[in-house]
Amino acid sequence: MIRIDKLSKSYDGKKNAIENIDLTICDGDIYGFAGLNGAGKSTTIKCLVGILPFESGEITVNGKSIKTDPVACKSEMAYIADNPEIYAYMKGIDYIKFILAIYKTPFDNAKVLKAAEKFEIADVLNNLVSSYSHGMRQKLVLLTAFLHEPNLLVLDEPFVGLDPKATHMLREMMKDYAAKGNTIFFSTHVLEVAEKLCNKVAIIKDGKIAVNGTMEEITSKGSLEEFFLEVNNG
Amino acid sequence: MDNYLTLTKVFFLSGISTNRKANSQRPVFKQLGIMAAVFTAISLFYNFTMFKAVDAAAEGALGVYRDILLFVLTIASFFTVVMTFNQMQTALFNSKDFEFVESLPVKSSTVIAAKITSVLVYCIGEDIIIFLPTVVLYLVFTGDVFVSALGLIAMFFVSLVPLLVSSLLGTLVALLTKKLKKKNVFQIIVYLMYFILAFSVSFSINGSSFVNRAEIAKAMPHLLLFKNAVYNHNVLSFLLFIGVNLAAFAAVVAVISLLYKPINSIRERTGGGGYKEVRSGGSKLAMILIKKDLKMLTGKPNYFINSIFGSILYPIYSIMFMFMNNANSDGGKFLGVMVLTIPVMGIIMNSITNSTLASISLEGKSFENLLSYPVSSKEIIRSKIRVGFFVPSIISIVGSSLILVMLGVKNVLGGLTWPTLAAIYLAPQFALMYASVTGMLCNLRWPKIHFENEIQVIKNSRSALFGMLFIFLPGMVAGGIVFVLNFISPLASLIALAAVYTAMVLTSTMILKKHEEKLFAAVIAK
Repeated sequence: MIRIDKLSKSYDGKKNAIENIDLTICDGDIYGFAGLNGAGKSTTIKCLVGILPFESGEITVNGKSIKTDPVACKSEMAYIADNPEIYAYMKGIDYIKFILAIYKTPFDNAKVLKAAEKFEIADVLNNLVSSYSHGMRQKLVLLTAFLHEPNLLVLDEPFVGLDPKATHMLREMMKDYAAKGNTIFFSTHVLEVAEKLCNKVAIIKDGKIAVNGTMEEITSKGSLEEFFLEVNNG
Repeated sequence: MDNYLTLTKVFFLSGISTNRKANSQRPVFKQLGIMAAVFTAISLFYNFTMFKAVDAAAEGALGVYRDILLFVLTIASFFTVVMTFNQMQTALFNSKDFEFVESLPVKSSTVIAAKITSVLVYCIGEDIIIFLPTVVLYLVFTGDVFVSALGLIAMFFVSLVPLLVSSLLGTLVALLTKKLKKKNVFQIIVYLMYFILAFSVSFSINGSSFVNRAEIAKAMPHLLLFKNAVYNHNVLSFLLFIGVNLAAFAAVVAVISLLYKPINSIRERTGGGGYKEVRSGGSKLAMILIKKDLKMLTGKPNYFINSIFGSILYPIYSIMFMFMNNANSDGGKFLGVMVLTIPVMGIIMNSITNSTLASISLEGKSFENLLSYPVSSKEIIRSKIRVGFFVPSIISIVGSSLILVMLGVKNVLGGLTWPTLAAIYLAPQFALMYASVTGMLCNLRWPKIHFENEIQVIKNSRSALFGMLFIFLPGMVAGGIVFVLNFISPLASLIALAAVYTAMVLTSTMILKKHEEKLFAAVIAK
């Protein structure tokens, strides 16, 4: 379980980029996080995964504080950025080995190959990452995240750059993954996908949580997109 | 420990690699190995001449050879301090991989330690090139196995303290500039002041170190324990030397770890040199491109400083020599020789840091944008060569003018003559032309468009290293010939250098003209 309590973060020491964010993400949740550009989605996510320090509030991952015990928290999660940074000199297979070594997960060739085939990048694993398209990089990072089996998956715009087939496959994988009791928290602009996939959703506006709840509650009177526009136009 | 080693390997390889073809299986180290061998051979040659000179002077006492050992280490350490200041600042506080690395379950202190160590590994490589020949020759000339063994071990530690100093200074600069709007300008000013200060200190020490041997290693206090170990065969001093190095490493890592994340997480990223103007006419295109490349140069403090680093030494040394007392017992002859040696140093230093060595690579992701604009590859290449030539050229002219003033005022070596004048002004300019064209050739041949920080392109890429070799070599060869033949007329050597570089300018320009489009197409393909 992840708890975000009264989280505030300022970049310049004056204006808060996010303010008093409260969220509780339970085991097995697929939690969508929506908002306009600059609303504070990425800032919240980067605080959650321990990239950004924050001034006030607390974030705990299964009872451990990201402030006081960041390494233990990070060991339980995988973060996938919207534009994954992969060292250009590495081959796809090097990247997988590197991440597995950091997460202290044994390298299992058959398992890696199976996952790579599923994501349709098995034939380019021996190529340099610099030759990959954005979508291929995204697939590589995703499959690597699934390989070290974290309890929590945090994704920033995971569907950007993926082809329709890969998008469908990722959605199915996310469902299977959450069904095993794992947790997924992801930001997205693709509200149709979020509506089909998530059991909970939060909408952030101007650095504050405008709405959060179950998908059923939020879409009881219309689609998520309609609700989102209403929140942001109101 | 596992994470530390894994990250060190990743940071190091990321720093030295260049872009290869997608399915290339060629070993990264092959070409670097060849180049290291060439530089080691050059180093061996100069070390040998130094040992032979001592031998020939019948000063072959053990102490003199130890002085050489210490002197080479002192110089190597000094250059590590000077050259890695912006390197460490960039590696720690301007790397694109910050967010990725911070999201991994690894302590910040492990990341810092790995980043410093990855640069240390690189410095150890440089130290081996510089110092290994010294140790080998020391052993050959003295048969002193004990001190040679200490020297070999010391190679792996001697750059550590200089790197830590650079890391702390880099952290200080990052801390002071983190909220500044004009932080690029501030960083450039700080770097320049630092270089001037460092070289002023080195100048005062260099001037006395060979004359007064007690001064050796004073410039680099961390070597004093090593000095004691070498001069007194003191194992305890040597163990203390290693212990102090490692303790300093742990302390500095702890300090930087506290500041690493807060600084990195609020910094603003500076972008590459994208176009801000549109083409308004054929005649203005060249200027638009030059402005863009100048903006890229001045917008990246590391790039700018590295590009003018060599050039700026020329006027600095000119000024310092201006204050040198010429009332020597030799009637100013020594001063005269030194005065005319400055442009030679200027030529070499100007050349090895030319901005064209990195100018294509540093386009980074904006390279694709560049290709989409209505400009030809030739226009892009020429613009970069012009900037690579004109910026250091202006600084070089200042240096030459200072030399001119010195010759006139002090009436050294009989004052001004037309050949002297021509050599002082033209030799550095020809060298710069050669460096700009050759730098571009190297960058086209070994581009590094994908990088985590600029230093990987500016200092560690194959383009920068091979460029340094190709640009440095003519000067070294000419200098070597002068040295070997005991050709003691510095003016003649200056003219010889100008002639060598003129020939090299013509050659490299012809090569570039013939291959530029093919090379440019290859960059696009990568």
